[in-house]
Amino acid sequence: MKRDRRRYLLFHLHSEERTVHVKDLSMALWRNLLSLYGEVQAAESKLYLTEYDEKEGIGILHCSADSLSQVITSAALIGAIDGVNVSFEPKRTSGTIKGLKR
Amino acid sequence: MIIDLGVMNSTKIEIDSICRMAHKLGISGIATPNQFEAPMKTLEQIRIYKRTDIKGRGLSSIRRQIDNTRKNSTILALEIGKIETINWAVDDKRIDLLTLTPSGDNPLRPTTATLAKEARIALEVHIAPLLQTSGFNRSKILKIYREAIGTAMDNDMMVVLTSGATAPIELRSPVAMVHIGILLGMEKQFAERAIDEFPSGIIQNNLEKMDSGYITTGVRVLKENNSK
Repeated sequence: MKRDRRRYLLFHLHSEERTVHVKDLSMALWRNLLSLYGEVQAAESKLYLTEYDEKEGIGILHCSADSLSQVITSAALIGAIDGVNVSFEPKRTSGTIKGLKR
Repeated sequence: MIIDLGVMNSTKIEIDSICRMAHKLGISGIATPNQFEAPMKTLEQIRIYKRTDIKGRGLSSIRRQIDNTRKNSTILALEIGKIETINWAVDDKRIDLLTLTPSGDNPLRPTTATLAKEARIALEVHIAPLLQTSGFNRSKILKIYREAIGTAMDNDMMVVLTSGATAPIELRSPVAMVHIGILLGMEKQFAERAIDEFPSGIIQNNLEKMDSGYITTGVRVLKENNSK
């Protein structure tokens, strides 16, 4: 079986006042992807939050290469998470975590 | 040069924080209905251009507002309304943007788009309503936006994607805006032009027109001869 190509995305989650917890962010990413593109696309995306620094708001997520655009779009359209207004800023993408951190 | 032509906040305190956020996101300019007298000023390394939103239903009211504001506003925007009014305003050629409303009461018609193409007027789409809604309500807005953008692109009309932000946190980075443009039915290249080339082109043209030596496209006063 052919292995799916993955993409890692470095992002910055800007938030107002208080920080956003990793679990809430993960849920919000999934919920918005599901709402915007449906169950099949959400499942195909293989979205996973790899790292997230709650204090800095910087994190890395990975997903299948084919659904990267949908993941970025749905994340950018998140207006608030658990009552905290947020702005999702995609920084860089790479095929490996090492490449992102370089 | 990335310029967000639709930052809708007009209070001075918020403008400072909007500029800080814009700088963080890599935006180099914003157009806002601010209270500054000058058509352009710089704050936190961000260029702020004066934007005026024409309001009113009647033709005479719109004409009067355009007459009064055109000379001191870098950007003049008009919400899409009744077809007779809109087509008159587009044919008049003094406005820069036709703002699409998310309610869908007044869709963009092909006749308007054709006239707008001739007059180099762009369709303005605010993304803020997409951030404030979800589920069925967002789906309805997406439908309205996608239809209007489709009509504009079919008729070679320019499209400008703006944040419509009233608070700093509603700004989005240029990369995020391009992806939202793709969601709204644009090709990637067109979405990039909608946040970069089209807005900066409109600003550049208008600043040129506001220059004291400007007469008409390609004609300007280089040196005045005062001796008679």
